[in-house]
Amino acid sequence: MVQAVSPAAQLSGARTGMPLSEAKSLIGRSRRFHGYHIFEHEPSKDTQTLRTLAIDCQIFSPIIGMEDGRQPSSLLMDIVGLAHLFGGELGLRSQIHEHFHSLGYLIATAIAPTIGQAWGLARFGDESMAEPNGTIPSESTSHFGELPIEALRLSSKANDTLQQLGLKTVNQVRNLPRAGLRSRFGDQVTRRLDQADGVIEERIQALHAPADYTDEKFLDYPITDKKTIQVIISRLAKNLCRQMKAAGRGGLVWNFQLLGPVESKEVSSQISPEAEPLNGTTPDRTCYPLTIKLFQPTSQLDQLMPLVDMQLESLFQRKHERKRGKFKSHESEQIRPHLQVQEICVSVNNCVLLAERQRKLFDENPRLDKQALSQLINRLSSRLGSQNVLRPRLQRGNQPENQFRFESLVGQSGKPAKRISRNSGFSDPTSPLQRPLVLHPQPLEIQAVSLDEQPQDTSGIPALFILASQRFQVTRRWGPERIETAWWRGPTVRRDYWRVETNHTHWWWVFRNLRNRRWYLHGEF
Amino acid sequence: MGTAQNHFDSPSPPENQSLVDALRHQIRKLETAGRADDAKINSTGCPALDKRLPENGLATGTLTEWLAPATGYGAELLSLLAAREACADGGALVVIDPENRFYPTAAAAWKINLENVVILRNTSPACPAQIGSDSLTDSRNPFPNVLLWAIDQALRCPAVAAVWGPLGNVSERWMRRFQLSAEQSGAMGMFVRPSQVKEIPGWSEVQFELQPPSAATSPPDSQMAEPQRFDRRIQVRLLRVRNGPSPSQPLSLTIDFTTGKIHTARQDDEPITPYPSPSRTSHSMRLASQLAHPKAGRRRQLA
Repeated sequence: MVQAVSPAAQLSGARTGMPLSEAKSLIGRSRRFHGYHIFEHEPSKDTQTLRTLAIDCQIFSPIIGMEDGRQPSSLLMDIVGLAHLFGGELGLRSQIHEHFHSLGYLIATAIAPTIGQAWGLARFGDESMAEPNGTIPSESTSHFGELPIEALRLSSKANDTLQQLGLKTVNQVRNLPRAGLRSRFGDQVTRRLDQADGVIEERIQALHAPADYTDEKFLDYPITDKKTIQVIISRLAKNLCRQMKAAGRGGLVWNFQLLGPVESKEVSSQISPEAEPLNGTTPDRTCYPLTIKLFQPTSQLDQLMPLVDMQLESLFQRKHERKRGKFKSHESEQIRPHLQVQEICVSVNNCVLLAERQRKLFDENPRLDKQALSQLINRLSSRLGSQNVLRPRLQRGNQPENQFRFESLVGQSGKPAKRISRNSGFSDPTSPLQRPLVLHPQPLEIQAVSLDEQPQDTSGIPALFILASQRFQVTRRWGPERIETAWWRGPTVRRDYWRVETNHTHWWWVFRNLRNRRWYLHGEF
Repeated sequence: MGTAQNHFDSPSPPENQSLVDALRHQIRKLETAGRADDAKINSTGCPALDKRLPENGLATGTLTEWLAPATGYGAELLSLLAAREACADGGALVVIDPENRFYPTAAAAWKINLENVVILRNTSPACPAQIGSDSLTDSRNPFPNVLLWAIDQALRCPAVAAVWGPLGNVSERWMRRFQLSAEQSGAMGMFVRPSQVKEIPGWSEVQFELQPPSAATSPPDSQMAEPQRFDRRIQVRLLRVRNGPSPSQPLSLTIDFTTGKIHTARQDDEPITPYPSPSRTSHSMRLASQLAHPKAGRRRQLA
């Protein structure tokens, strides 16, 4: 079966999808050709080549990925905020064309606000449609509607059905009633339309550069024994550690991929999203990725393996939970799912040179033992998750909830935080009592009451607050401290903050939103 | 036998006292077997509170509980100041923040070195580590076991100077684990806990209780109209010290709004009676005498 034909061969009548013998006879009868080349179609090689091209394109953007599907043939690039580095979108596009031309490829490109539109415009739009200029979003949206329905990335069956209905362009499909489309095609057509229009967000799955160190082990038959898996992982990791030690390097991010035969649909349907990370799973195999991000780079196996064991334990526990859930519903031993592993791949990203540490002759303060702290953070991150082991960073801003951020402690190359000088917009409270130690992530709305016998005083603060049906009388207050944000930071926030002491001796940090005149409890001292 | 009986029947008070002291010493040794003899004493950050403690501060490798009826009584502040003192030697401060309410800007204003702060959270509702049966699982404990495990790990680490944060109704076994871990590494646990737990026997070395300021120290109504200064008043009571004096009278503290310095609101606080306090001794002697002379005690009761 012909999978692809060159533009010249198309002139002789050869088409994709026709038998190879028919294509050969058509080209042979044509007087245009004196010879032709036939290449065997190798989908895996195509995908690998496309992946390599994607990695090469990271010179243009750090976020570059491939389209979804079994045989991807398009690259997706996020260029938000990057075009000016290449002399505008036109300059960027021409540089990308030059890059591929130098590699011997002829490509079609398009710039659009959504992945769906860019995909359609690149494949079915003409140059005038996809010409980047300052009005791209609106222009491309209108152009996109004029494209054939194939630009919607639908299945061939859906395309055929729509064409049989006499529909030719995207706009014609857009004008059909949604309910009718759903009943006939499921959510496929409406989802693709919404993705193209930006109603449903679609993200580029960024590809990463090849691992610095990698090793893998193929097994003759799937194994389910945890100890055996541990031993194989340990051997692979030991090999990588040896290589890294020789180079004086250590790994910050260690990836372990356990690949096994695909699970039955019945079993897979029971996988809860949070319990089963299946990134990398393909129709013919199941992938269980384990990622270990470290606080400090290491090439020590004894530091790494306890973390691996911890994650492996969690993985087996999740499988165990699934089994229990399965038995509750079906009471059957025969469909018990096992974690089957036939291939194990260990790779190391983010390798950095290890700093040599000179041993001290005398005992040093154990509190300054960074190695012990590093091991603690690695252990905690491995079990709690890297998103739960954090360090605080102060940042500029007036809005209290935006004056800081939290960063994960692991998986980063230890770049020191930029120090914020006092006169650079960072609002430093003059007194430690000005800010509460406890800040509610979402301010709690409180009801303000002005009693007749305790009228609202001239400052505007009420005499009474009601929170969760409980009354809190204000005995002392200090303020107001007006906090408002700059217009360039989005919707302006304008608040009058007060520190109040209640008759229950609580110390609260309350504010009145000057937009809606409501009172909120934001913190407690 | 008779001689021995006579000996137990009429022990001289000094011998009795020394016996009780020896027993108390042995119990203390058993309870704190892992603690270093040369444990460093850190200030609480408040000189008035230090004076109330037998060793004029908090020993490293111990747990301290700050009990308060609710948030906003100042327990968080006093405990954080004590943790800050513990971290003065450069050790890390581990902040337990299960409800995502820690405000780093305020901590920095209290001179907490944020470079040495590690924050632990539990944002995942179905953390894998929670699944499965844990022998220490407590169904009444709102704290996830994985976070308790993290606290234990942090207290066990020699590079950690203090672990600070709220701790709800945690089982006694977890508290014992925390104590042993702290003893091993020399880290200090500073936990803010609800007042209800004071009835539960614990493994902390010191318990403070935050109370609403008494009426005598309440501000006059005029301050409502002219709030020139906004000093904060906190009333704290030393509830329990292991092998220390009995609960003392509440101590009223005032935090200066401008400088953040803490000083006593009332200067007429009674000085701390040196250990052992008379009330504790008499109670212990009574108990020891009853144990040593069961018959005599019963005779006395019958009479």
